[in-house]
Amino acid sequence: MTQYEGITRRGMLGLVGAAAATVPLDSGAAGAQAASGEVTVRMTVNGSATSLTVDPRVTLLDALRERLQLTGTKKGCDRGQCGACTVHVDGRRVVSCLTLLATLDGASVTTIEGLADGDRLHPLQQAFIEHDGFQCGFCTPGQIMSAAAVIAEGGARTDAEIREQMSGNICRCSAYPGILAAIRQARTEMR
Amino acid sequence: MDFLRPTSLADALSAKADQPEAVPIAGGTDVMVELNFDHRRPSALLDLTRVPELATWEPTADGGTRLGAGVPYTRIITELGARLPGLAMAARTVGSPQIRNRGTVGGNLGAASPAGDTHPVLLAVDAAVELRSVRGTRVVPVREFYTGVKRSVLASDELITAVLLPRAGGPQQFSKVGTRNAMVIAVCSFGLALHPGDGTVGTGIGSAGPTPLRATEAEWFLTGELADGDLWESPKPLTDSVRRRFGELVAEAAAPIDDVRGSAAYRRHALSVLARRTLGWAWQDYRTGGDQRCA
Amino acid sequence: MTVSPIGREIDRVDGPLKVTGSAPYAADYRPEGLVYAYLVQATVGRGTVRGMDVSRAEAAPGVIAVFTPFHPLPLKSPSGESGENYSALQDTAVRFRGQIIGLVVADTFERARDAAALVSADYTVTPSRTSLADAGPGVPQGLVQKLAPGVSSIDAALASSPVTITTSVSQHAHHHIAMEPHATTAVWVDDQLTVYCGAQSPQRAAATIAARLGVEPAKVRLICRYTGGGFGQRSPVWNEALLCAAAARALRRPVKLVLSREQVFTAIGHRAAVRQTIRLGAEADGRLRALSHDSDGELPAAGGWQMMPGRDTSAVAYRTPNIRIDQRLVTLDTPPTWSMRAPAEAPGMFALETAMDELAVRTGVDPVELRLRNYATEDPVEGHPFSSKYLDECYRVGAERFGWSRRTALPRSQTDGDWLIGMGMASALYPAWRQPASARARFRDDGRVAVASATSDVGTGAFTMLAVVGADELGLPVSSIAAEVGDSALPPGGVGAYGSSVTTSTVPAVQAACRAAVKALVQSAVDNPRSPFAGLAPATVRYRQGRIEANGRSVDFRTLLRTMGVPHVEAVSTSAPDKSASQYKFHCFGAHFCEVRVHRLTGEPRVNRFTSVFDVGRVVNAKAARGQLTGAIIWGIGHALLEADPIEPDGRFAAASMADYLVPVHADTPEIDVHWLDRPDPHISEFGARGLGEIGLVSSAAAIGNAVFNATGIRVHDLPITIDKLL
Repeated sequence: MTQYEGITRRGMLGLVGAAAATVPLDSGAAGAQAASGEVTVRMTVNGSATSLTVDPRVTLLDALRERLQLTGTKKGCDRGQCGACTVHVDGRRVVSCLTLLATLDGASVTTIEGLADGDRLHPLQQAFIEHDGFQCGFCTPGQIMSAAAVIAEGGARTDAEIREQMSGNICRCSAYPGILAAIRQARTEMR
Repeated sequence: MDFLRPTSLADALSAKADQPEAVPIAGGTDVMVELNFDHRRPSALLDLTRVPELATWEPTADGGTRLGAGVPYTRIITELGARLPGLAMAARTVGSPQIRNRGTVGGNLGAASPAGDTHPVLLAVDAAVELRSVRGTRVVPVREFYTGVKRSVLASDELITAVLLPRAGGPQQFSKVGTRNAMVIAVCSFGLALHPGDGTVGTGIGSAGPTPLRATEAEWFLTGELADGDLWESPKPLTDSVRRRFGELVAEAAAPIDDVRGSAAYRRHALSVLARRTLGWAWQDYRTGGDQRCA
Repeated sequence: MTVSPIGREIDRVDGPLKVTGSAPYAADYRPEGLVYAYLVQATVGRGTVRGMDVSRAEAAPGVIAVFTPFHPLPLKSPSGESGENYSALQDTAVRFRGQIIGLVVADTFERARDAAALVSADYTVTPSRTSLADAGPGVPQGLVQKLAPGVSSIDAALASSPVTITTSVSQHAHHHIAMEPHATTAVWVDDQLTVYCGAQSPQRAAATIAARLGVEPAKVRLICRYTGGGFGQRSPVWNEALLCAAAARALRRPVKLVLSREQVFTAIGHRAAVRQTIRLGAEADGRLRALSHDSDGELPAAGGWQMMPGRDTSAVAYRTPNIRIDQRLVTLDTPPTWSMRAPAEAPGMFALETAMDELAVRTGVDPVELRLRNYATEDPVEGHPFSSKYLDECYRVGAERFGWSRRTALPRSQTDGDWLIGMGMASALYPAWRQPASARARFRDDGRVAVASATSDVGTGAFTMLAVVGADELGLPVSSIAAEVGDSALPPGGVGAYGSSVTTSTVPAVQAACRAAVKALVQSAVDNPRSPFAGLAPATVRYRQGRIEANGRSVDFRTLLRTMGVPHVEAVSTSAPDKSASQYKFHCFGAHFCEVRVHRLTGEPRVNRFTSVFDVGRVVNAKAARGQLTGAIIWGIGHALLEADPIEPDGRFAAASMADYLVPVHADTPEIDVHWLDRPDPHISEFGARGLGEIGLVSSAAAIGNAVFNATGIRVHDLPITIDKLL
């Protein structure tokens, strides 16, 4: 990556590769509502214990992006209609835009930043590159998180099943054939 | 804004009694769409995800199922496909897999949108909705639950706690027409349940009226035809004219409008097709495998 | 020996960042002190804002400022650009429903959004003009006419033709639906502005922002290294980005403005609704005598892109002695329009290729044969020869790969259970456009060569194109090239990512820059006293695959640069088309073949499979080319079957969300067989690439419509082809 001109480097920390962003645990009891109307939520994000005190209207998506600097998860529609914000909550894929952070006390969240094993790409990430399963890349984190769940659920047995199971993730570039091929390949590798 | 996080049903009911304007939120897939855009500015949110009583289902004494309002669609599909075949079929068509992991029948009922995918089956199987408040519990047949566009009999201090579904005594079907192959709001949908036990049939129509609708005339007609021909006892293939008439009566029961998803005329036509086809499948099912199912 | 990467299956060089979520898009930047803005939009279709009540919003927690026409942010008026013809908040006029009338800034996104909902406005409302169908013929903008000697008018030519076809088609507004909603993060440091904002043309966008803010062009830098889709919607700068930059200036702190998906539908331009009529006059054997193409396109009063669907389609496609193209524009009070992928060509060729299919049906000539009988080897209006055209080969190869010979011409003659099966085809064409372009090549002492051009990679593969061409030119592996795009501070002369022109235009510039950089490296090697080649004549020193060689010595450039103590050696080159290019007509071509099924009872139309063959000149990267062509064909499925946003009488879009405006999902995507002929264009450039980002969309909808007719016998003229039209 190159420099971010016009802004101090410090201001940009956490922008890229912030796979294990952790916010200091605060002293508020989990589940308690602060006097200001804010809510404290303790959860695990990509394996790290995290505690956030937020406005109850904050979605998991906005918490990840604006509070934890995990910007790999994207906001494409904010209404559950595109799938760009797909993450795993307690092992299941959800659209983080329709998930209130305040409902996730005690939950375990995995985002695209938590998928790779250190510097080694996850088989799906590698397969998406090899099969050109993206163009602009904006829906890609959501596609990959969704695909990981499909394979884990055993829902990727046939092409028709993959297409159906991946239909919650819109790719306007329409890299669907590449996505399909990538999932086929990763399905074998992940066994 | 207050955020209420009860961990028991009793606490949830008392919270709802104290703050009737609090918006209940379980999967969030309906409520959040509005919150995200400030279409609604509730003074409080009532988080039901921690209420264990809502997240379970159990068999009832009469062989039916009590489905907690907070059981997500995915669990209905994976755990209840045999007990609640029609509901499981409808659940498979809801939104996307991500939505199905969070969304619930309770939420579908709470929103009471005529396009909600589970309503036609709930109508067809004659389900009932369990509503609770600190005042007590009442059970409302789903056929009396909807009162208008996105309106229901739910009182402001009540919570939808469960749906009561009778034992599937016969084949059930659900079918939906959409413009796209997946992740699509129904242009129209239809649910059908055959009840060999008492010789009746149940129907439900979605996305073709201000509320989910029942095709009562069609039910009476088919019930009569099946009885007159003694078809429950000696099931023969249904004649084309019976299937066609059933379809016509279903279409006549609808009250559709023209909108971006389809014209009223198309909806009526498609409903007659869906009714004919689901009846064909269900009857075929009854003739070949119905006995096993009843056993 | 390094194998040339040209035309091979090359992974995207930006892939690892994109699959790990670490590629930063405009909304991912989070400078210190960042605050959040949210738009307020007009809720009436046309009129005047009489007054606004911002008191509740200003009193809401965390609110920093509320800007309105009554408390505006200063912006200059647009000048000389097409697109929006006004600056937001500078007056109280409401030109369309959804126009920006306010901007709320707060310390968090949630608080800004909440406060925006507390702003109320009073309007004086005047009736809106919203219906294209009711407006009547528009104002003629682009008449193209060629009549054979002795022919008095196109009507006379049509009247004397043994066979005539009249086909009227229409389509509603289309939306680009780039997956990334428009987002801007604006940061001022003293008087220098850095804008993070997706842009198809970073330098043009930066210049526009500077002009509208009234600052020197050098004071604005726009960075858009990663952009979540363009498709045309990011070629101009819209009012929202200008307001964000202006708010950051006024508040002296970084501001981020991310539009909601719904806001994008109105705050950002859409593809104009358009109605077209094609009239064909032909001999009994299908040979064309006359072609007339009339169109009425929506042109909003608020400004927009001029919809001219006949110019690059009907005026080019077939050998015809008499042609008349009458393109008219209709003023409506709708949100602004803008070009959208194959902006005029997709609707224009849908019209023409639907009419050609009707002519095939009428004359009984096979659709492929009909097109061959009317094959044009030169521009039918101006008479210039095509630079390179192998469309006939596309037809032949496509028909064979697809199995066209198995088609029966009679509708409803093929079924599969309750499904009616049909096959259709259509020809595609899209203008090839080479612009002057510049690029920079820089040998770096880390052993890599940075190849840069101030264009943008909106998913098109520009990063990888630079890397592949640089690697080929310099004899290095692709991994040794560091590609750079998406920054207005790169050398002037980057081309915009539109018109399928980036590869066509930029490849020659990259080649020239690489050659010039090699020359500079050699010169440096002989000039620099620390160099082992110091003092040699440049002609005796040669560059080969990353090494400098002379007198039996061979040093890699990294070592050489380090030895010389020079961090890098670079060259910037500009490359422009030859003068001789004006003798030719440059176009890309293709042929689509498609099979559909339509449910006999419900009318549901679905695409079974596609085969498309293209003549696009030389291909740089097979993997990216396939993605572009395939993706655009899938857009054709949307065009034919799904996409439409009708506008209601009150100026409201009827389908302004992703639940109502449907684009294809994975389950709508069939097997797609894409093939291209490997025939470099000898006249467009030495390299011979013609560009392929849009042609896949051209006519793919027509092929589907023609297949639907073959399946059902029903010809749908008003898109999209939905269930209710197939009963």
